Amino acid sequence: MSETATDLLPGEPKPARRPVLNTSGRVERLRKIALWLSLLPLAAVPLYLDGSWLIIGILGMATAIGAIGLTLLVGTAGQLSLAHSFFVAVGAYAYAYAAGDPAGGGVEGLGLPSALAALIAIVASGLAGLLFSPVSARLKGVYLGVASLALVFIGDHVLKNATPVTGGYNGREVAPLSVGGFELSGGSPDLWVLGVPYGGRERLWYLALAVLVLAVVAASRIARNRPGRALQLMRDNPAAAGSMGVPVQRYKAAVFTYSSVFAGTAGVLTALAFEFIVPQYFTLELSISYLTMTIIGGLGSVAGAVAGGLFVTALPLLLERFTGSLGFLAAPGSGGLDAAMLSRFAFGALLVLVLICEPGGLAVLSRRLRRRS
Amino acid sequence: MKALQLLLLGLSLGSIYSLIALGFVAIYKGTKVINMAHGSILLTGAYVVAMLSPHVGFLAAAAAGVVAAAVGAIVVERLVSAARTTDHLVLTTLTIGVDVLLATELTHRIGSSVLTMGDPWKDRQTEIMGTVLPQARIGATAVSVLIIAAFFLVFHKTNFGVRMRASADDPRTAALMGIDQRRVALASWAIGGGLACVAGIFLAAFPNPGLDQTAGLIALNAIPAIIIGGLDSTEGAVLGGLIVGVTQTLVDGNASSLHFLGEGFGTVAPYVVMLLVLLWRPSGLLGSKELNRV
Amino acid sequence: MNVLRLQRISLRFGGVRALDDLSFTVEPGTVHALIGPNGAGKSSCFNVISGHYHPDDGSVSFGDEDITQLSPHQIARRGVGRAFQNIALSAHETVLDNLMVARHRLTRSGFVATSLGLPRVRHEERRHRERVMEIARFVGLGEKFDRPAGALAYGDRKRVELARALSSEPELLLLDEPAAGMPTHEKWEIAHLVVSVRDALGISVLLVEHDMPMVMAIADRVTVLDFGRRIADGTPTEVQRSPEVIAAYLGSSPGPEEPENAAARRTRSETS
Ligand SMILES: Nc1ncnc2c1ncn2[C@@H]1O[C@H](COP(=O)(O)OP(=O)(O)OP(=O)(O)O)[C@@H](O)[C@H]1O
Ligand SMILES: [Mg+2]
Repeated sequence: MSETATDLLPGEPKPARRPVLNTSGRVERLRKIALWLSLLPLAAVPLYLDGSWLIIGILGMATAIGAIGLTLLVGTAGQLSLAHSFFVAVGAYAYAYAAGDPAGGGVEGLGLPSALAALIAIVASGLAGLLFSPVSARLKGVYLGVASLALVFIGDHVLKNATPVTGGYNGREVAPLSVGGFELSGGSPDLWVLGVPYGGRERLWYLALAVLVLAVVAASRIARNRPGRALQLMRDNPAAAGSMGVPVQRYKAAVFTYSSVFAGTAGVLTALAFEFIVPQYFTLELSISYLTMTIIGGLGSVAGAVAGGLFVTALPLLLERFTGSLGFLAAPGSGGLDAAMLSRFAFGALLVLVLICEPGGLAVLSRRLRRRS
Repeated sequence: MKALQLLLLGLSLGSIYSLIALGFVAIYKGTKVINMAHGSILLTGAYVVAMLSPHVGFLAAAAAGVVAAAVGAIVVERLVSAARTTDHLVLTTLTIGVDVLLATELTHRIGSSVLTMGDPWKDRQTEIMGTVLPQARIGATAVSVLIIAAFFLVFHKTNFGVRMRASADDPRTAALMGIDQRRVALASWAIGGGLACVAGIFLAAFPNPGLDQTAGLIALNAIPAIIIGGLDSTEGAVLGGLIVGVTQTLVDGNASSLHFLGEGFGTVAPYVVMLLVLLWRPSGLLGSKELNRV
Repeated sequence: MNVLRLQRISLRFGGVRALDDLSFTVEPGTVHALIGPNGAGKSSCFNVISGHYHPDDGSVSFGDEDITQLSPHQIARRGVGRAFQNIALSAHETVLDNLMVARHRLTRSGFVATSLGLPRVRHEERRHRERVMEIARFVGLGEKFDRPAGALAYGDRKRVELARALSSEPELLLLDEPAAGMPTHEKWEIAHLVVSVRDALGISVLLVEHDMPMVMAIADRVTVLDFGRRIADGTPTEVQRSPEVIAAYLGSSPGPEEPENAAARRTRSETS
């Protein structure tokens, strides 16, 4: 042991003598290639499915982006937030306001180019997260979770009362996103691909997919590298994190801000998909849905957040579509067991079951299955 | 006179919130979990009271409701302790799951109806100190004061209370001293549930029209109360409850002059106060500052 | 090289005087042992030095700088590393990740650069990974880099704790019972390690340890605490002869080698 001590000199790290973790590096690369290849069929989906199906996928992908941000905050950093819906709302409304027609009847807008508006909206949600840092930096875990409820209720109040900007109870319209005259969430100019008309939803599918890929890549990098390691230790032992040189308060504020950027991005895409936004969507229930996605997927797992986001968004929409053929479901609003209610039961039960039986969620389950095979 | 009336109304509303907040804190002290299903438990209790009251009378129905809410809380506690983790974040999230289940079922059952308790006070009012107050609120205040006094008496003076406080302050040592943590946990949840139901009954009474399916959210008004007072302080819960009640009533009562803050600002005002308190004292007015023990 | 100087430190927890008018100095390039019965205030003293507790009275200086009121990360950045008595690792993360986190003060990549995957992020990562692996081998962890820290045996987890503190490239290393609970031969391995940390790396070590033979063998200087007060300070031989020390160890509480007591201490420390 002591013979190695002599070549261990303090100071600059030395280059490797031999590549370490060589085999797992190769496996890693193969997995990456497989993942990228799996995007090909996803890119072909709009050729085969019509808009009413695509919208489910678009909303699912948009939500998954928000869930990724939340899983970093709650899972990686151990900071609970129930305010995710607030930051989703900031993104959605900031976009709608910035891109909105200044002359639009009753509801104001800045009339900015929509691509710029989208950027502004994402920055705005990040800023909103940053503004909350006097609180988010000082509170820990569950305590932050309950404190963040304030944002949900105050946000809801603002959405309903700042009528000139938000449209109040009645909501406001969302302008389509276009880059250089080409709409990414609308139908102009006409576009045909392999004989299939590419309207707003077909185009938005690609936008959502692209942003989702970016979000996955960025978040995985965070989780695997310096910031993620600091967050993990901060979660497991804040005192130790401090002694390793991690400025714990700054990191708490930073990860909160970072996750609100993801929420804001989800908000912009959600708004584009809905084309019209109302405050009744951005409630505590939405925050809880986001939390459900990250739990089902496995706290701290980026892939799990994507799976959870798609599942939680798609289930009620799919059930609703199949209400007719599923004999046991009542029509929505009839007072019987309808699609929304059934999926709420499912989510509640899943939350409880996952946390009781496998707090690691899907991520741990799939890891275990892979190991067994 | 209007100011005094609002203040008294606010204090009486605050005493109801104090009951909910005290329940939160009891559960938190007993098990370090923030019971996010508290609202649904409150509504479960109130639902049972509303269903039974026309048949068996108010008092019997109220007793049954309190028992139902306590049992509901115990069920949540059992689920929480079935989890294979002691991570409070995970356990608190679990109670959110329970809340989703309960709230969905209750929403389904209650539908569009409004739950009324059949309480003896009805909409009668009484004149006190030159102000007119609903009798239900006077009753609420009296009952809350009694319950809170009893709670503190038990908590500070009895053997059981000592055991509860001991395991709240230092669970390991308490366990070494032979204190049965499970019984302490069950008791604190049962108390929390029972208190929530009592609060629910009074929240449904005059001048409120009754409870609808969203009433579970009202219990969330106790969240600013416990954060203002300090999550681990029973005295703080009472103080926080009163602050929230008074704030809300004063803002609602002056709605016309506060119109620029938007419609229904009263329900949001407690959260604003909470944020201000957090900026000033992150662990609340009476909460103890948490030291990272290394 | 910087001198660590504690001057008249007092620290109270309610009625408990954890530290009482404590002063001592750690000279550069030495192994300085801090010993005393259970509850004497050794870990509290570490917490004061590393900024987790701020003393009610007195000052801590490192080199020319007063560090009494700095926060833990600021003190870490000045080159004070620390290994904790109660293993404070991320149990689910790999050994490598647990060690890499200690490079925090030596690395730059923040949220934005990392999200963008800038080349310098990858470059930094690679360089520091190599260095950290060297350190892991140095403390005798072999090639267990990819194992979750929580899955290792107790002795190995203690080594990860030590390797992590070393990975921050400290100038002064605070080791709180690095060999506690290990079998004798492993204890001596740790003792050798501590000596080579001083000799080969030139790092000063402030060491808390209950194993007297080990302390006497490797310490250059010893400070003895009892009820938060310094009752002796000097070379190992001087200290061993001090009547107060003998009284403290034989009197109030059982000696540090008493197995029952060691077990009690371990349960206490692992529960907190
Ligand atoms: N955060 C705290 N709150 C209250 N009391 C504390 C705290 N930290 C330490 N103490 C008390 O201070 C005294 C000194 O404790 P400390 O952990 O420093 O002892 P130690 O010498 O490290 O003991 P051991 O050999 O058992 O590790 C003890 O009485 C302990 O209970
Ligand atoms: Mg100690």
